[in-house]
Amino acid sequence: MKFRFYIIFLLAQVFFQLDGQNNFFRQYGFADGLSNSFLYAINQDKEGYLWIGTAEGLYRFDGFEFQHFTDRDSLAENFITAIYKDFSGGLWLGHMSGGITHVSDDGFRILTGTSTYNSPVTSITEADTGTIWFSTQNEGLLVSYPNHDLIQVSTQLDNELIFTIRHITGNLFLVGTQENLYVMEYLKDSGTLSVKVRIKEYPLSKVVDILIEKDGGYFILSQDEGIFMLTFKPETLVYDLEKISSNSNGQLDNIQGALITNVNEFWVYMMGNRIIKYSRKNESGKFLISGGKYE
Amino acid sequence: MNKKILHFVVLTLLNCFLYLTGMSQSAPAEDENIPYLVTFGAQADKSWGDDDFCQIFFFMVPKTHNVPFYIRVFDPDTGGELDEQKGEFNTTVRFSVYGGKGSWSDPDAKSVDPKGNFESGSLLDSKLFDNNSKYDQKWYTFGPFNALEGEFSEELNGYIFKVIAKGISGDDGNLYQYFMSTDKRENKPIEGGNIFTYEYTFRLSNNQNNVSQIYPYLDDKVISVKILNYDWDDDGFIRVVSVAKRGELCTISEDSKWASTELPVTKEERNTSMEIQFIKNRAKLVKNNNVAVIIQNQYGESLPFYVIPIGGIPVYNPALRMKAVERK
Repeated sequence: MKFRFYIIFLLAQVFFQLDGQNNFFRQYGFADGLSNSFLYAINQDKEGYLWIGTAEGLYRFDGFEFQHFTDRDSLAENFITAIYKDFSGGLWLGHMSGGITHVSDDGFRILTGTSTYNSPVTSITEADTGTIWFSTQNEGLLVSYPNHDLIQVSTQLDNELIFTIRHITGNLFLVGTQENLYVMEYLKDSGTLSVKVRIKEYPLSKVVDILIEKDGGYFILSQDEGIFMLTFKPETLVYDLEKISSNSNGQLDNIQGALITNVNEFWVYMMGNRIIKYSRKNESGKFLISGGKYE
Repeated sequence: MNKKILHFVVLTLLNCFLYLTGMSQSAPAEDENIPYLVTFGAQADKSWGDDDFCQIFFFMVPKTHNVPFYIRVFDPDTGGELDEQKGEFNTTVRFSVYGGKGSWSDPDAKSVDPKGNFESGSLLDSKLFDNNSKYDQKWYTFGPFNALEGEFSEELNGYIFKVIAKGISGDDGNLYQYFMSTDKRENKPIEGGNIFTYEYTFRLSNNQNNVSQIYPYLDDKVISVKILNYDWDDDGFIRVVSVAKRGELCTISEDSKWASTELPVTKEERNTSMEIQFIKNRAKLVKNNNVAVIIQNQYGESLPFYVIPIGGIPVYNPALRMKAVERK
């Protein structure tokens, strides 16, 4: 449940200055047809529609109106905790009680309901084989094959809860837990995910999200220890973890998630309606805080 | 109207008002007159008053509550003036918030022993605290939470969240308080909300004139109760007040030991709260005394202590007592 953004008012419009660029915010709420104030996941499909996951169903936004879907429309559950867009443009929904729904041009398809895996789906990623990987908080991983077969994969992380997963290459994944970051390998023979490397320089803080940077690095968002960039030397697991933004003054407390835009910007959103924008500086090639904040 | 009856009616109405408005939604509550909850590090000596280094509280949000709320912890670090120091401060305590299916209904969650599946449900938030002045004598806020993230209970007509304070390492005592709030920066109670626990581990006041009290709720199935206290350290006496009990004394525990007292429950006491009073030793000062308390029904099932007593603070009613005697 990385994304939790609360819309307080029915409509609000805020302007603020970021790096000399005017950013325009419009806030949508009840009057616009978004009748739930807690949003847990958001993603855009190949046709440009925004899909928004709440505790009381799924909303599709076309820029004008919100359309509401629930379990009566064949969602596995109403409570949506994760939305992922796969390489072909299909959407995958992870739910609070372990349900999984696939959204395609044919509509909704339930892969598993609430009775099998009673644990929140925390993160979704796609491997280059076309398999979709779902991390659950207490039930390890679930893998969906292109024919929609679903298998469960256990991990070696007995006492750790998984909050995020990102595919690296082949059978390797980055896995973030309550307080650790790992490179893990899927062992087909045993059907388990095994720890390959623990990124020991990563501090004791929940891994909130892992985003792939276009130059091949990974943004690691910690809950309250700042933001890191993880890079690997080509074809190896030799890594470098660099802190790109510390949280010394508390401005990055309670990070909920982030997104990378296609204009070299990196937006981070925190609990309590705070947003900070980072921009890539040409000379160093690193992302640095631009000074723009929205509260 | 007779003055005594008038007094009783006023008290009852006041208690109902407090319950309905959800005032004093902290743990410990103001009315309980308990300074702090306490959880020791996992390497602590149990003779310091914590039998299991773990404290579990449940937060009930009414079904009708549809705006965000927060769970706040005062002084979550283990260091500074408030906490109990044993040598150098070396203690870490993790506070974790759980919701979703099973977080309350799982039998292990209600057990007084932190074993099995007591960390049931979905982990919504968690933070590890050590000796850090950033959090010393300050409020740390978990949330915002959506009521729907909790586990719904028909019985309580609300959503339940669980907070576990677990001593991970070290041997010091972490003293802290909770508040369930509608505001992330201030303590503003949730109308109709309540907080409860099945084992209450707390610090007693150092004031010898102090009387603390906690309020278990006796449901309609209770025929008798067993009241257990741990590590009382000869710090005065413990007595029980209810609509039918005027102050029955409990056996008090010795260092690192449990003591239990069994009491019958009358028909009139069912569906009411009981008051367990902790009256300090006035002859000698027992400083920094920590104690754990449990109450069980005739089946050995733990009963909840509510910070806002259900039905209000019980007042002994002599008429009920006489009636009970007549039945014999």
